[in-house]
Amino acid sequence: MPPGPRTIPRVSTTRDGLLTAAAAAFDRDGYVRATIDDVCDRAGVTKGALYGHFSSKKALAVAVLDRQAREWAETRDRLQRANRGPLQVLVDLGYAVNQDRAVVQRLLFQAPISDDVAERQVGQWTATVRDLLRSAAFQGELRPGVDVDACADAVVAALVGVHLMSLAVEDPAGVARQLSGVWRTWLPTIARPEVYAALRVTPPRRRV
Amino acid sequence: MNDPAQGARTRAGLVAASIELFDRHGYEGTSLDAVCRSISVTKGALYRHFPSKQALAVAVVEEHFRRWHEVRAEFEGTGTGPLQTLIDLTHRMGALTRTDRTVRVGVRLLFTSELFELLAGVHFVSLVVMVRDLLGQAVAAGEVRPGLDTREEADGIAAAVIGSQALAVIAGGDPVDRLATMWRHRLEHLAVPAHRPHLRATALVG
Repeated sequence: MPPGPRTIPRVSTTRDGLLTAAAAAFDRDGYVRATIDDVCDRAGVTKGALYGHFSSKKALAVAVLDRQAREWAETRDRLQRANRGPLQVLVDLGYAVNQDRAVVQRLLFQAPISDDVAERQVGQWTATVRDLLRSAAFQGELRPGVDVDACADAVVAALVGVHLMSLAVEDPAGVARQLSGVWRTWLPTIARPEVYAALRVTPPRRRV
Repeated sequence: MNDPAQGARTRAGLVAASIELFDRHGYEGTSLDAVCRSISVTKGALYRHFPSKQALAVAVVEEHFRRWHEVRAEFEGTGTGPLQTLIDLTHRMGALTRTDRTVRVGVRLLFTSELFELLAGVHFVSLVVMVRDLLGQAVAAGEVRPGLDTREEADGIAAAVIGSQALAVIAGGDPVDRLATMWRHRLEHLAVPAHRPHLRATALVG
């Protein structure tokens, strides 16, 4: 798919508009080079209005990350409500994340905001994977003896690596292929054979 | 620069000083003046070797790349099979991300500065090539299950290494633990069953 204009969700408030504008600015210029003036221009608000919502560029960037994390959590909840098993939710969440990851990657790698922000984000990703693996264990999807905590750490590293590689070699189409590689490596060794046989490791047909 | 040996010494000194200062104050927080001061050379002498701070950072990242090749050569010299060499190489580079200043600063520059756009692509591709090469040798040595897509395996292994190193520099955590878990799971399908007991997924101690 050619990179077309991103569909921007309906802007309901100044704050939302500022976050959308900031995400676009950080995505294009990175954290260090992006300017508050540019964010204001894009959002069509004054600097005064921006500072009414966000005390600094860092606060704005953290809010962009928090909004993205919230959206990913909503995606996870939606997937869970669709009655998929935890492992299928994990697979599908990995693909869903892929659609909005660029600005997050830029704010945490390339031109990172700060270590404490990065640590918190990575902690959240790891907790999400760990919780899904724990539910999978609880629902009997996992093989006996799987070290859930160690797997969560390693799976997050694998996913981050795939995304960084695709960002660096500018190969967005390769991500889905590589993600399915991650799942084909990990799932047979952690899922019970009959559970693995029923999983779909390729991307979902429709956007979730 | 009449004396080439002196020139090379100055260049090496500048790179070493930058590594130390980038490690202590970060890339953004290090000025070219500070680099010059720390080894008592003039700005003019620095500019003869590096036109910009970015050029200096590129030299640091190249030092880090060189480590990959040195460590690979070191393990290849020990006579373990190619698959164990690959496992040990990834563990050592993971460990060096925390303990070796050049690797730590190189990884940090690569992932968290403007150098990402310049150099990360090249580095990732050369890493994939190195992994593919060792996997190819492992296939030839009969260590790897026949019929595996070694390109896909190499991509996956390289991604796990990159992800582990990147997470170590931005958020802490031990890359060696992550890689050991990765190898334990990956060897299940990668290694020929008869060879699996001869492979160690964890890092060498010491």
